[in-house]
Amino acid sequence: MHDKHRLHPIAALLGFLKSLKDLIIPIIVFFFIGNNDSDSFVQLLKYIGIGVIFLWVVMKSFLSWYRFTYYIEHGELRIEYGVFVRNKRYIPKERVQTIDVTAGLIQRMFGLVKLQIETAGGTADAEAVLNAITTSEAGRIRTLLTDASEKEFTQVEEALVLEENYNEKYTISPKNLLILASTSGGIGVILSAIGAFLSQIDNIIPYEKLFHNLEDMFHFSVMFFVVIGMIGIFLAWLLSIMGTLLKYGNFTLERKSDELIISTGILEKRQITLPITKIQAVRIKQNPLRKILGFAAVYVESAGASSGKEADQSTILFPIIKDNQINQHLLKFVSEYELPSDYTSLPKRALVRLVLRVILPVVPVIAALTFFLRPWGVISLIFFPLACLLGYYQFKGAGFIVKGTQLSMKSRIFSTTVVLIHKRKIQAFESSQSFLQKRSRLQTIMVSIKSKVFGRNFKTVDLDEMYGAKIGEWYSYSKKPDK
Amino acid sequence: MRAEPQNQINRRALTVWRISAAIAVIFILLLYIGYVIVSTIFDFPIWIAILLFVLLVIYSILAIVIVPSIRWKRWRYEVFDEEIDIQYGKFVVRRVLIPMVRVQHVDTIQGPLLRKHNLATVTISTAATIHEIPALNLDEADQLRDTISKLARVVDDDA
Repeated sequence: MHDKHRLHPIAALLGFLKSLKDLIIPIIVFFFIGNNDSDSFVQLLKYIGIGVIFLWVVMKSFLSWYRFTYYIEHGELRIEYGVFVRNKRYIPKERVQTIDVTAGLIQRMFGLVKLQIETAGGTADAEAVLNAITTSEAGRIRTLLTDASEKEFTQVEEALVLEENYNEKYTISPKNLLILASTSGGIGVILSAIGAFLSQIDNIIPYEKLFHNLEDMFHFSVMFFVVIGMIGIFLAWLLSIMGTLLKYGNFTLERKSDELIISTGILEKRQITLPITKIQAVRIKQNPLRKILGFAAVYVESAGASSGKEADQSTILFPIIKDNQINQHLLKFVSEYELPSDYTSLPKRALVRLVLRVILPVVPVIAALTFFLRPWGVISLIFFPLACLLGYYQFKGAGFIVKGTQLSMKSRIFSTTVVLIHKRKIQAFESSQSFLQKRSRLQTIMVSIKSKVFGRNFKTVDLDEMYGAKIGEWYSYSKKPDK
Repeated sequence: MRAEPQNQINRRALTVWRISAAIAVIFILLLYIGYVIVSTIFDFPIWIAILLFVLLVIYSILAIVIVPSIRWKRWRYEVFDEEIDIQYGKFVVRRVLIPMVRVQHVDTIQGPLLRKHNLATVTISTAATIHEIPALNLDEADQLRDTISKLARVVDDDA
């Protein structure tokens, strides 16, 4: 089976039509440019131009077809394609997730089919597309590539779940629902609501009059504006509470053996089914307000649920939960994940870098405000120590810990986020070190998980460099002699 | 930490990178000439043109002479039975670990420039990322792809 196959020549036609479709607008534009000019030379040029484009598309389609070959060897689909850039792709049959056979209009006219192969690789497109082949050829390819996949499927289900017959349910008490609504971040909502609000009261407040007396506005109406602003924020806050109540009103999380069923919503009900094996990571997020009150929100990152609208890439698991109850609920609903109580934090020498990172974008803004908007702009200087404090706060909130096969990464911008990932869900591990980091013996680590949005990454920046190596060792699959 | 990966990419990669940097520089040079013409027509102050020229020279030296050597020296890879270890980076040194069980497919890519020098780039795709080992000798590239492909046949214990 080593002889290389080409696609049916109709594939060239399909490629040709596609290129034509892509070029249709330039062609039309081109066609209409010289129409007013009755100069026959220009007309001639125009037609030559169209002819050249046409010829080029024909050549390109033919060459692409000619250069596209495939064959199956040693249980691998091997494809070679590309005119200027030669590409060779090898896909082992164990990695084939779906084989899609379809037939569009043109394929049907000639009794052909289109075969697409997808692996777990996250790109939206299929990893291999055979545009036009005969049905029997499609059948042959399918047989050759599927016998291993069946075996793989049966092994998959044994994987995670230790106890069968789980049956758990989680709902949100009305008191907690209120806390959820009133403490949710939603700054964007608030801001846009303010904007909407201010545009509405336009009729009540004579803006034009105020604009003409800028001085007056500054001295006299500052209080007025502040009060209006606060009323606006309060109303926006009320609106966002209502919105959250409507969204999470009837939230239920159920576990049936190894599936999670999440349903929510009062006006618009949504239900998601998520097999636990598809969970790639668990994320716990706690904004400062909730941190004080002792609450948090928990999400799961998932991927590979059978194609369709089922699990999002990031699904909410517990919209609001008391942080001391997180672990018992994690155990009940997702079994293997555990929120650690202690972390390895960043070394002190990383503090300076972190504070700098916060201050750097702020400084020019403060400088501009102070300079251009004096004397009031001087107030913005207060942001400088505030930024330093924020940097310190972020520094305290960063860290990681490895427990067994689980890596936990903690980070903080305003809200504290902890990500829990199991070793076998990590697709690749990268550690990096810039020149400055090298001088301070710091490293950044990054892990990638499967996600619909082609691979999500989680980073921890400025760790002590020995941890980068240690985590690399932990992740390594090399068989080491037992210590 | 475990030792640096053993293998380096082909020396000819340096040439290829230098050539593509040179092409980019030529392009920028053309733009610069365009700017000079415009500034002469519109009588822009001449110091801008001189400054830009100096910047252009600095950039060319960096891009053609210095950065490719740093990059080439840094670039190392090693294929073990269970994983692939890659080290790369110009300004930031990066080290990636990819387990064989996570490799979805392996490609080789050869643009016209690489082809002239008989080189190819190997790309390794996982479910979340794509990694590449640039500019290997064509035979080495094919062999590497075969090796990784064979080793990556380990059945994933979890879909």
